[in-house]
Amino acid sequence: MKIYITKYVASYPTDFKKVIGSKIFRTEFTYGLIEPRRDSEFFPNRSDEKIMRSDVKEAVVLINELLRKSNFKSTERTPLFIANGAFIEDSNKYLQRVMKVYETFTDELGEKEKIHRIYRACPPLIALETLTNSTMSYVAQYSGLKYLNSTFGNTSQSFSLVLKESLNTLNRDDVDRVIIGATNCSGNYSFLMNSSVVGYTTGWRESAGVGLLEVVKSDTIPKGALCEIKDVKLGLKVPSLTEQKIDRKWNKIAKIGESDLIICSGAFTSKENQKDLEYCEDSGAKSKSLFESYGNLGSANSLLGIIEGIQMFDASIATVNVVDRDIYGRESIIKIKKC
Amino acid sequence: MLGDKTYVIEYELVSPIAVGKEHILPNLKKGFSADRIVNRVDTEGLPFRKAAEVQEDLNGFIKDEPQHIKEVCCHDRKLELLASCFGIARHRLDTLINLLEPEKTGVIIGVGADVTAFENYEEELLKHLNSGSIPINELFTRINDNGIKLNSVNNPYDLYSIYLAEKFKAAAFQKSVLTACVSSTQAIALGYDAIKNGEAEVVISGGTDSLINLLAIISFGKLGVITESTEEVSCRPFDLHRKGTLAGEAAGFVVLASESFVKEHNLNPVAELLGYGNTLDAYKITAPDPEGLSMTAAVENAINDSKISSNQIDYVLAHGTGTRHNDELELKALEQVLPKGTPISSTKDRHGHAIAAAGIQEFCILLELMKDGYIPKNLNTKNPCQTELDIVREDRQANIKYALTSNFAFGGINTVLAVKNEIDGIRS
Repeated sequence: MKIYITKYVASYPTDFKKVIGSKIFRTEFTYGLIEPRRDSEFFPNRSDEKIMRSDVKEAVVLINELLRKSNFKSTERTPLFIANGAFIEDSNKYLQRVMKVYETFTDELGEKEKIHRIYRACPPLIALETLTNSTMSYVAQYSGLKYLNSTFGNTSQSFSLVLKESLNTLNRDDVDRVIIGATNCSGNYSFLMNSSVVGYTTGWRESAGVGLLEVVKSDTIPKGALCEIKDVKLGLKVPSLTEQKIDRKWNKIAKIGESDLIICSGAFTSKENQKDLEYCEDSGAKSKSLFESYGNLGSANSLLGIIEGIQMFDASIATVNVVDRDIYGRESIIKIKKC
Repeated sequence: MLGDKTYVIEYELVSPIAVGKEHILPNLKKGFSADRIVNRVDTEGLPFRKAAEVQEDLNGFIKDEPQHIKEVCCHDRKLELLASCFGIARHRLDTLINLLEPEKTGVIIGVGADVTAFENYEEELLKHLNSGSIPINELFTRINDNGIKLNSVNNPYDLYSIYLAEKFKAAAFQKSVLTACVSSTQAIALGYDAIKNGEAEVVISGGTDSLINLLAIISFGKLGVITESTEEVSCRPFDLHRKGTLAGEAAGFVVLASESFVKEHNLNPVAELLGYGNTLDAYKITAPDPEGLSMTAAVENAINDSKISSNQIDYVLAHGTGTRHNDELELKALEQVLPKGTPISSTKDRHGHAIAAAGIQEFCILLELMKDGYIPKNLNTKNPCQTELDIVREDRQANIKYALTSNFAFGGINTVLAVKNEIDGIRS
């Protein structure tokens, strides 16, 4: 029994903004945004839309496009696994009302009144807006997927975990196909989270990205199969929190070069990306990265890397290794082969 | 090895009901409830002033941590709870940790949404309000040391699984499950899978979460799930007059091991994890499916996966949040599958709802109950909902050989675990 990707859908950032991170600390970053397709027949209803991030809205549209292609029946037991990045697009906007309240605080104001003002200012659906499983639950709600599920997050390694989970499920369970996806949202929340961990450097670039794949098991190559998944490997590294500084060097545990092409990800700046490409090319294979087009796509890095690999299959490229190292320096390698 | 059985060989819990697993049973038996006015946060002026919080000073449990981890624990309650939980078990685990092979050991941790405790940074926040900068950016950048692996606030969610992985030298994987109130329940289920698949021979599964900060209490309160503090008791699971749940916090972990690992090292398992059910409502993110079909399927799947029959279930430690929707639908789902008279109770009336850590908290409690053969009553239930199940009203001793523990999450995720107490032919 082999595992194949038979369908994919994805959306990429179209609008890029360069903004100030911190005036005091002189940081700035560029981030790419996805523009959800409001004209789609699958666009979520107005009451749901109000509490959804843009990547979640687009995921709802994409799942329906994917399942339409798949002739999906809602009675089917099809598992759904999602990798998720940050859960807040713009923490400034999201907490604006609460922070405005702090502006009204004076020394004379009692604690009780302060707390009451914060209470009144707090958006009523804030718990749902920041729900960590919102992509998975909305995708389920708008598609009818009801079976085994999980959401992994929130570094870029999470998509490799999702893919591994899907392979295990197909090998073990009485199911023939699994839907997997990754959504990453960009913005100041993600920038603040990631740049604090690895250390801010100039040229910081992150983007939102969304994609979904249909993964099936079969004894023979399914009609329309896009690639075979040969392997998913994690780097077997335990990041140390005891040592304070992060080690994001490639640890060279896995052999990344046994393929016609390497698609790598994990960099947050062009300089870092250049080093990654050099490291990959040292292994003897051609290498490519989506960084210059989009920046770091977080939890969607490897999924969009797979799609890029599929699109690049030709007479000279029959095998692609999609390699990523996450913010804690954990490597993952996904090996795909042209059908 | 595919098909290997999965055993629980260790567990630990930090919860409002017990800081350390040995306190679980004594506190349950004496009817302790942590339901009280919140101590750590000033809630005067809020309609929701009560919660279940861990009252103990946890500093003693993290005293051996490096200084920078101790400092982050001052900001990050989830890390503080998890580090304390490990600290309690640290010496007991030494022998086990020496047996573990890093590449065959993994960690899976369920974590809840990141809610910054703004009340702790009011002074700092106020400084940036009229400076022309974005106050939250300045605040976070100021609090977090640039380039130090541990953020003080706004950490990547994987921090918690990585923390435990370093302690257990678990290199096979470090996974973070982000499925709200079933996060740690799924962490246990996925640990079971990882052992069945041969992905690991030992998995440390657990969770950590805390709702005890101003924004979290307000946001869940506004969602209509937390009982207002005018009520005498906050949480009445399966009671006709239930008004909502009690906000909580907890951290815990279990060490799951394959049958071959247990046999090879001649270990005495605590229980066998038999299987699980895990479904999605696919209904509405804001409300559970009123038919409860997927909840029912989760209960059925847990039993079927375990290769037992529903009439073998001796007890269900239910999700039982005390909210109108959850308890009604949970009873409906359990009634569809279990025989009349199956005893069920919820302990959330005592320790509150720890959201992402609810599953691990209740799993640890269930292990203690099974070990002792003790079924606790629903502490605050005076007028039980009508059901053919047995909503337990008095504490009782009973042989609990097979049990279920269920959790259900916002967004319609239903996860149920099946556990067996008696370990046939493996205990030495």
